[in-house]
Amino acid sequence: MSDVRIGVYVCHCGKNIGGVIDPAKVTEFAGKLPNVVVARDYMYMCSSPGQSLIEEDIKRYGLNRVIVAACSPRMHEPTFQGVLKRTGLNPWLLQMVNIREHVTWVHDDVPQRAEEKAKELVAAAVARAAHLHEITTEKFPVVSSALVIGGGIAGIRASLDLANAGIKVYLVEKKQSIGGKMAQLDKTFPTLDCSQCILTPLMVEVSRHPNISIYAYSEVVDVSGSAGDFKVKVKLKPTYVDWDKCTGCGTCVEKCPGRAPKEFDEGLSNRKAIYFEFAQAVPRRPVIDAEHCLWFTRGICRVCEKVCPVGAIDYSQKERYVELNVGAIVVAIGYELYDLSKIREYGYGKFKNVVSGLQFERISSADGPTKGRILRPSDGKEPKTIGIVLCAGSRDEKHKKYCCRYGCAAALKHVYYIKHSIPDAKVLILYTDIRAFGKGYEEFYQRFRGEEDVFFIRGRPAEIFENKDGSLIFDVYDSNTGQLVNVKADLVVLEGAVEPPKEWESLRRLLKVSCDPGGFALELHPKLRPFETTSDGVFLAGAIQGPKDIPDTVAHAAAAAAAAIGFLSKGYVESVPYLAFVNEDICSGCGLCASVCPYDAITIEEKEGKRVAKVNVINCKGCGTCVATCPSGAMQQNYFTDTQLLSEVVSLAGGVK
Amino acid sequence: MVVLTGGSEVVALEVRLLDSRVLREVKELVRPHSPQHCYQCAKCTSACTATKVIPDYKPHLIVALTRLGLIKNLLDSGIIWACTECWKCSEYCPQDVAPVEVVIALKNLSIAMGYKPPEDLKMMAKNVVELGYISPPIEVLSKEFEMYGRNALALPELVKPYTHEGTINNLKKLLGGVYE
Repeated sequence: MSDVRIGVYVCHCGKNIGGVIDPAKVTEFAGKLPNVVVARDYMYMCSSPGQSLIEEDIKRYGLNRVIVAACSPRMHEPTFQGVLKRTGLNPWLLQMVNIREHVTWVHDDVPQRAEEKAKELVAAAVARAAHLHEITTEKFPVVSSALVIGGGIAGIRASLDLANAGIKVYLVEKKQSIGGKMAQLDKTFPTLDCSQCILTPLMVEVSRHPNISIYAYSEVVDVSGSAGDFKVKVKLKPTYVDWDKCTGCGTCVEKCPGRAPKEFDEGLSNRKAIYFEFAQAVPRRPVIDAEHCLWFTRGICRVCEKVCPVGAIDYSQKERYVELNVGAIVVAIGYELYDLSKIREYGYGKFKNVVSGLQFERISSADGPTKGRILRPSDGKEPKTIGIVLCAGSRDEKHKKYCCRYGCAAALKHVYYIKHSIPDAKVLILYTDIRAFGKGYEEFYQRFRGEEDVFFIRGRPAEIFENKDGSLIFDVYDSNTGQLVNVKADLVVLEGAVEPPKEWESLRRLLKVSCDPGGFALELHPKLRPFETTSDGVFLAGAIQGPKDIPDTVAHAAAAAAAAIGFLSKGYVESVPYLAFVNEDICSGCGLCASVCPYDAITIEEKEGKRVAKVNVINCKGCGTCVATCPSGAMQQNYFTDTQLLSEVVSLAGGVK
Repeated sequence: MVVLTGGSEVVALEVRLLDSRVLREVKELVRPHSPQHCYQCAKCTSACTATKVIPDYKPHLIVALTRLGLIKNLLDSGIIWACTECWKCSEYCPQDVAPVEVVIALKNLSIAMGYKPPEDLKMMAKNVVELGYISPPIEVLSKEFEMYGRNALALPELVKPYTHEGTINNLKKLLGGVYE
């Protein structure tokens, strides 16, 4: 291979590399390796003069391979590929050697041996570089439309931003109304805005927007295709009401004799068997709950059918499916409350007067079960002593390890509700730490610290017991005063942990998105790319990426929408360079590769009388699973061919003997 | 009772660091539990059976002091022997610290360091060897103020445990010289 002309560039990275090993010695070593025409070291190879150095050498010496021994390719591979591109070389003729993360950062205690390792890695790269070949990528057009999954505040904000940018949006919501958890709240911290007053105008805006189609009471059941051109199958669950005919008058709801616990009130009140999710529902269309409807359970009644003035009731309705074609997907399915009955010592679900924070929101809401008067569930009496337990299930190895990120501020907000409604009530905040981190939160905290009859007790109750009269007694050790306090409370509010919604597990498999230890969606980078995923074209908005309060959710959703807009407005997607490709002469068409491919990118096709594997360029993500599985070596991967890898391994092993 | 925190006494940082060896030993003994993860929510002390009787016994404080290596006062006071080992603290601890494990580790360490165990422990050890139980059977008073013994409950007579010189010696060794 006399035509291989390699340039080796060893970076000092200031003291990061140069402080441990001597880059000049590595350079000197590299200069003597076969095919190496020029070898240089430089303080900061990624800097403008460093890049120019390489650029000039490529021109002067006619280099056709470039090796940069510096940091991780995750850091600067694109930088140096840019250098190659500028000189007209194919960017995949570059080979990075990571002598920072893999050498100097981890072996700084043995500099001499670190230097040897650096040399060996450079020699391996030189051996490999001879086998590098040019790689070209393909471009495919994107469909300028987006799917937003979840119609809470995150989905609403993302939909509006996308739609206002001229993109067609399909908003899929599992419940019959958009609005999500925010619609259930009475007020929002720290400004104490009425939650519905700031949310419902946005809900109406979504429903009226010409670029947004809402699929309520629906679920995403299948996703195929790839970034820029997803095919999405949406299931429209049977509502037993023809929503096109229905005017939302509510006569059916009024006359229905069926009863069931009202989900929107967290089970604290009852609704009818045909019902609106809540008064301000968007779309304002009722749904029949077949589990509680007398017609479906006992074959009697049909009152709703009789009273409906437009004949919209349809008991024979079946689930329907629609196929959508979108370029990008924004996941905004939010969170769910952790099942607090699993914290057995607090008696939630067993003791009526132990309620969750969200139930307390309903108790405090003007449209809630008590019309906004704070009354305890067991006997409807006004509670005079209320305990608020923070971190109920959060920051707990036995339940959810992470912070819920809303509980502290919500507890303070609940103090406001209580003192506003029952001025002589005593409130005990049982906290471990008050984390008032958001804008205006510390001021909000300060406001309640001085409030009369509001006691901040730094401690956590361990066991809550119920008295015959429904009140609750517990001991809590206050570590501020060093006293064990015995409390008799009329009501206990648990600011509970949160977790990803149940449907996330199946949805994330459709979208091929990983999850973090808490089960939430794994972002591409926790700091720099928190709203993108490893699946191209799939973006994250709001609490599905991790617990968030409303301000953070809205900011995150707007960012996700902006990222999706950027992705769609670019107009094309590029295939990955690390594509798998088939040597059709060797391939036996066994199909193992197709069965292991996580992206459905491989099909077995008939070609000239034999079966061969075919890689779909647009679906292949270059994961290499098929390459590792192929029994004959017919499946290879760009930039990681057997020849390239083996030459590297042979060099590292000191040659074949 | 003994003041465990050192009261108003100002502790120099060096004193804390001097005892860091103890923390390493405790950490080793309580594995896989982790005293260093304690965030002092004091849920253990809220639950503690012993605290209600002996207010100076505070599991979260024992973990805090141990974590800092400040165990001299702690062992001098003998407060660790107040633990009834009901394991509620371990059950409720949100950080899987298991304060009872820390206390047990400290008990073992204190014997190893030459601290004298409380008299009751000696009695218990003696009972184990002679009766086969930690405490001898006693008669109890019912809610109706009637005494109940084993006879009244139709329980069989206690059988004297099998004793062997070697077994006793091994037990004595395990109990670290407590049984003398």
